[in-house]
Amino acid sequence: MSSTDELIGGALRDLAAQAVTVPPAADALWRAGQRRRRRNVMAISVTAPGAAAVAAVLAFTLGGGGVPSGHAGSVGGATGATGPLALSTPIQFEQVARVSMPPCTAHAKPVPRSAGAASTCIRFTGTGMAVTRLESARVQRDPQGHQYQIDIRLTPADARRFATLTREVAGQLSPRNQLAIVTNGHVLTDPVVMSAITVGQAAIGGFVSRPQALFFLATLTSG
Amino acid sequence: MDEGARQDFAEFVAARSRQLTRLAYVLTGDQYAAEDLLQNALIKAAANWGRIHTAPEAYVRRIMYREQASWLRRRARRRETSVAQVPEPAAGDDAASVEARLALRDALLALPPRRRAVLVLRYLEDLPESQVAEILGCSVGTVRSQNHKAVTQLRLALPSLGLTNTEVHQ
Repeated sequence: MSSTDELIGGALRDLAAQAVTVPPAADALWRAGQRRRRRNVMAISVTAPGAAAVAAVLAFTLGGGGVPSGHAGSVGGATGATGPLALSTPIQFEQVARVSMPPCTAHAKPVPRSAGAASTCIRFTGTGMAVTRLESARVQRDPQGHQYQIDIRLTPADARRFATLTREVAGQLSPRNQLAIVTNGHVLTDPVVMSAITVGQAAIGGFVSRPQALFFLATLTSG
Repeated sequence: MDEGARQDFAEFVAARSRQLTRLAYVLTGDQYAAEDLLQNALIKAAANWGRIHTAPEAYVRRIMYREQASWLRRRARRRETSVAQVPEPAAGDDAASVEARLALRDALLALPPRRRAVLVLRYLEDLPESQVAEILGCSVGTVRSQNHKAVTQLRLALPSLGLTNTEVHQ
């Protein structure tokens, strides 16, 4: 081993020794893991600028045809919609091929990021699927309890396609293990798929309020 | 998941969390960020316990390395990293060498997370480039270039230490 290796290794060991090692609460972590497993939900990380992108989708939809005021109530009252739902705006799931820095070229889509961080541009591989019907959709608080998300359940046929798609994507190297969720040409988010999602459920998160999530859901189902 | 699995997980956390916290701290250079990084990795491990319970530590380490070295985090964490307080020098150490090590530690904390992750895998875990590439999910060429850039950055920050780039001198 050279002296450079030893110097760097020694400094890294010094650094490691400085850590305050408080044992994590294993039970709480286990419960959080089991919630994640049961829901088998793709982790979503859209925050403030993400909400702006959602708002842009809304504006687009409103401009294109208009959503009647109070429409949110008609898709399921306070919490969302149940029963088969026809979507006027398909939800697309697209495998990410490449992530690059802004400015985005003509073939790349901008992705909103959390406040303070730069947006990124992504290109798709062409592997993906579109969903035009949902078995059900429901608005609820996200697991952290700070924001709201729309939990969607796919129809049995779509769930099988989604399982195949997520199984294929989950085994690939970053960023090809990411699936972008796209509506109306806007990328809402591009979560990493940790494992095949066989239960046909996904979540679209990053809404700052329940009305905002309901309104977005209404724009997907209106028409 | 049954009670046995929950207990296995709890035992794994109890047995390995000290070492894993240290690794998270070296990767992030920040106590709170380290706890977050480890916590997220452990939640993922719990969620996938049925699949990974035969080798949970390798899974947790890989999650932490990849999370820390990911492209987005590299961008998001370009900002200054706060440097932890200086520890008391060990009795008997030569003052000049202690000073040099502290300076090197600060220079390591100033590296972008991805470069630091490569150094941790190469010089702390002592892994070959091929394994480093496999853990980080990138090519061997990327590992080499990141390693080279990291050592160059350290050398420029601390010319008196006489650090050398192994690739250059091979």
